[in-house]
Amino acid sequence: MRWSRLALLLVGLVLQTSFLPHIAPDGIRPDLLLVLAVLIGLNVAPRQATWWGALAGLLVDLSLGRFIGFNIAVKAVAGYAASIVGSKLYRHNLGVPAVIAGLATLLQELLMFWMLRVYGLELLFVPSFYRIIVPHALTNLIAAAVLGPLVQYAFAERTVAAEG
Amino acid sequence: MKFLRSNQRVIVALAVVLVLVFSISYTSRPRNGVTVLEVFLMELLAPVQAVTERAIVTVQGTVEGVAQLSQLQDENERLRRQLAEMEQLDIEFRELRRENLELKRYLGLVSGESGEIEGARIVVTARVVGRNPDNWFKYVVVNKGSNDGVTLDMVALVPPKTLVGRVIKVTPRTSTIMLLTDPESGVGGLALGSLDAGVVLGAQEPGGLLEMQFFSREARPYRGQVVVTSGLGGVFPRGLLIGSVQEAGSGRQGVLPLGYLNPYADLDHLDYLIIAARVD
Repeated sequence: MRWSRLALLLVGLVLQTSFLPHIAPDGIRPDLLLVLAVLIGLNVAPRQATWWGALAGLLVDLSLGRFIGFNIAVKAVAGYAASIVGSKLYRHNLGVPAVIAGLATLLQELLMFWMLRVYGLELLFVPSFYRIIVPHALTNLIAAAVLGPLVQYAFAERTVAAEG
Repeated sequence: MKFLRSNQRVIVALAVVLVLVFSISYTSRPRNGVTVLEVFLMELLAPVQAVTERAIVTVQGTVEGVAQLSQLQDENERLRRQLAEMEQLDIEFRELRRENLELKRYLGLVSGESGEIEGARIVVTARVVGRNPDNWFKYVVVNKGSNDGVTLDMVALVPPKTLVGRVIKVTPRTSTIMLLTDPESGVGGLALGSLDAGVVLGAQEPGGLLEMQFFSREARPYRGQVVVTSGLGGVFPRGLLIGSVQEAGSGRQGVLPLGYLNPYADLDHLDYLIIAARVD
């Protein structure tokens, strides 16, 4: 267990729930746990990335108390995908974590919208798409680009030989 | 056995998926209990969230104060002009206060001189320490829980008797409150003046207004009409302020009237809340 990564996830959750609402009270807040799952995933092996993503998702699910398992699954997949992509692309490029985080957010929010509809909420797709899904993907994209260098510097694990 | 060994990964993956699907389905509706993990996490984070929340509020206040220094002179002049108008306004205020007290007695909001909430018992005052981590739901977390007498389905208010939401999750030292604007929120409402009853639902569009679906086809909601809790449903005490009608419309099926409400409570800037229990 990398306690520093666990601490980072916990700090991310505290900021997500207590700090970011003051910056964007009714606006869209970046999903720091998803961004961190992607950024950690870029710097570790696929299996570890899956576990760290799942842990990030578990923290969100427990905090929310609804649909427990959804964020576990989505962020585990996001972490795994980030690790796979990171092994094939130049992950120190700011665009790589940003694009992965943006795409993962689109997938996450579309799935969440579909799930909420399945479970009875009469949400409308067009307003939800333009007011939540797309802005959320953009904010996560920006957050990943901003936090990427910091996390990569602090938690890079792959050896020079592995980077080839 | 050979089949199991050779397909171990697939079987494990399928088992994980099944567990996750079951968990998602089981927790898709608000529950009466909380898991040990949820209690552990919320109890762990609540003190940190409280400190963070306080720090942010303090910094915000300081920044706003500094920004206002340059405006003090203009404000001084403005206040001098306002002071000259106050005498005339005082006469109007006295008349409005008399009318306000009459309305409160009509609504049953005030009992005697104590100002207590009719039909409800104040349990505790709590501070908001956190919010939901996602962008779909509308929750706040407060720093009082079962140790302080808070239980499920208690109501959360801001003075004076303005409804904010209800308690949906309780741990020993924290409570989670579903706000009126949450898409799953539903409150029995009563439109003053016409006394038309209906149900006030959370915003069905992101950033949208509350929606009051009236029970009667003859209901004619109008802009500015005040909506309070009807007391029907067994959860919310009667007479709590919800909001006012911004515009009228028709429901998605086009049959029953619909009113779009602006909530009275500033749900984006909550600090202290009153937790109260309904008393029948």
